[in-house]
Amino acid sequence: MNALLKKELRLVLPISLGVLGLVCVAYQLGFGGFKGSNLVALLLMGIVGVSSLGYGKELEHQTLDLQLTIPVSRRRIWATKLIAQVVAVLPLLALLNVSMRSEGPSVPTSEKEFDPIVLWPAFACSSVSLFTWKLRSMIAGAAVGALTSLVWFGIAEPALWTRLAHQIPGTIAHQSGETIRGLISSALVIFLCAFHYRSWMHGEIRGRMTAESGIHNWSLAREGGGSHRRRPLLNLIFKELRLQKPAIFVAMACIAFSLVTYACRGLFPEGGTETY
Amino acid sequence: MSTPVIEITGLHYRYDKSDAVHGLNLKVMPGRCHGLLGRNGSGKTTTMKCLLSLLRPQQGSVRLFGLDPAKDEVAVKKRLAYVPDYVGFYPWMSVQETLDFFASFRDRWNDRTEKDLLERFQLDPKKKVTALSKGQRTQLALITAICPEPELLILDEPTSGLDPIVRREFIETVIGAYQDADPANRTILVSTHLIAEFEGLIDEFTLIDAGRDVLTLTTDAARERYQRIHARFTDAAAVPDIANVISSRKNGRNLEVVVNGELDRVMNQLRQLRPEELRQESLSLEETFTAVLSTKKDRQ
Amino acid sequence: MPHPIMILSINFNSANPAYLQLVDQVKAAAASGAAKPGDSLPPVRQLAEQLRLNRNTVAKAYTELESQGVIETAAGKGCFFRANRSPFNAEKKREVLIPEIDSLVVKAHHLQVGNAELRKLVEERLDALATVREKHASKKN
Repeated sequence: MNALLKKELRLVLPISLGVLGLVCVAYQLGFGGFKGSNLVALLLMGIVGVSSLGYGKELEHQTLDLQLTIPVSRRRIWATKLIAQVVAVLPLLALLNVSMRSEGPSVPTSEKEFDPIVLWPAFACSSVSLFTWKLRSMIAGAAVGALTSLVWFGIAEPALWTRLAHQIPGTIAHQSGETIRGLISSALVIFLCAFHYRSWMHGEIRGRMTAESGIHNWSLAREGGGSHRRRPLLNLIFKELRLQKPAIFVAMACIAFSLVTYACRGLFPEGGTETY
Repeated sequence: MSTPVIEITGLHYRYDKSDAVHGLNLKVMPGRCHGLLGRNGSGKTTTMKCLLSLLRPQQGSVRLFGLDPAKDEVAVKKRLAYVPDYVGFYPWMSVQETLDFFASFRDRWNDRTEKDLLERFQLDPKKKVTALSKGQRTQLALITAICPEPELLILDEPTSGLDPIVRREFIETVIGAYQDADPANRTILVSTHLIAEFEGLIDEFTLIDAGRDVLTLTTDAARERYQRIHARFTDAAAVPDIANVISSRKNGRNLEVVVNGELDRVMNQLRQLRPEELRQESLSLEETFTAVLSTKKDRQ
Repeated sequence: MPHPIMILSINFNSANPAYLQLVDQVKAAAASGAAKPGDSLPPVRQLAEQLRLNRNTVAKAYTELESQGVIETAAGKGCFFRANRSPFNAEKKREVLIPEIDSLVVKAHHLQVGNAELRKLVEERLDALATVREKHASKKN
């Protein structure tokens, strides 16, 4: 296996397997089936975190510049990272897939409406964006993940494609309880795909990878005046989030969305089938 | 006429609203050791990054070995090696594993040199890179840069923060292990603030200020051009004012003048006043740096 | 054969190019007897590393020294001091020395040093060099 791929996998796999282990342990401890929000949330955080590792770790070790000066084309570096990342996220996606089949007839992926929840982990499977604060790049990176996920689930369940073709338009027009969630999810998917090409082009990594944009200020959030000097705790929090843990932010967004849609489902009791 | 190893013409780069580099020109021929000297924020780092295609120039052209680093990325990078100011390595790797990793991307790798340098720096190949001191990490980076025997070695503040012994060894290694192997084809570009230390190695330099190249000279020519004259007169009142020089300072009976290439004129002028003592000396590279860049500031 | 003790150093405050400074210092060592014919010079790489000087500068100095007949290179063995047989004929020697002497004369004039004084000074320096040579000669025995 070539050295670059080996290095990429070494960067990403350990954490991926760690998350897997954590989720299994939580299940064993009886956190109520994989479909319980807690575990899904955990899985999602794991996937999100793992996805950001490819570039995030390079930033952390400050090896990014050195890597770009060895005689390997940017394209090859990017492709290798993508491969490693897909490999690392696959076990988690598999677990998610398995978990959705493991509990009774209300599993949406086998019957009724396509449950857009399957796209969530994929949204997180972003290759470039999760370590910058630029909203557009986070969104677009998620779009890459969405496509990956569609492909993955397409392979795992070929019928998915036909269902999608039926379901999404239907979802948009429909009135069931699931519709709200379906609507929001579908809108998001379209939105994400539309921004994909332009939007991943932001942030320090994209700047390096395409040698275009400048160097971004990674320290404190820039604010007008000296007001930021009087809030040391807040500044510290901002700095940490910005530097190291943007993945947490996105994970929280995922969880928030899940909770919102869960709550919305409750507003439309004729929605019927319980998903989670 | 051989192809320049580095040729930058009219380079422009701006970050958001400010111009980091504004019409910079730089040319380095094979076999030379070129110093890139400038204050912090003068555009030096941006220039280096454009050279390494970490940034794409907004205007102007950058050519390495006659090739465009944006288009022929791999071809250019095969022929150069870079030692940055902060060296990051993958923390799980040992010294030997790091060397193997970098060697795997190179067509040519001199194992003999690797062995010699590891021994010279006394680096334990099995040691994890996180256990290395800053000096040792720089030494490791230098080994990864020298072993592939590149035609161009780019050093970016390579010895900052290192102890004097390590700094010495670094320069000795660049001269010995790198330059001596094939002197006609070994070109060095070094960007540094430790000018005095690199003075012997650098044989030509470019001063950068506010994104422009202010002065490009060989060190020999610079020493001939920029000279300091000390004169002492019998009477403080006799000390003259000298015009059209870089600086002129009076102190009682003493006069100190720094000239830019007009040594004879000023010396003659002073001789006529029959000073008690009159002597001249050249400015060292660091002194030239200060003199040229301070006057620029004064004039603005 | 060990290298003779030549304290070589470059003065970066001198207007003289570095390689010429080396040439002068090596010639001075030969002239004063500190280095005898047959003594070896350190290899280019070693001297460059030692002085932390660009390798090409040292190489240039060695080339110049060789063309002036001060040293010679034996392939594979290194550089050695030559016996003091100048390759120049009398005519050429005059040609080389006259500008140097003229420069000295002009400098003396500007410093208001008289002819007699200058001659005395030259004698003094010639004697001094002779003493140094004697000292080195007796030390080697």
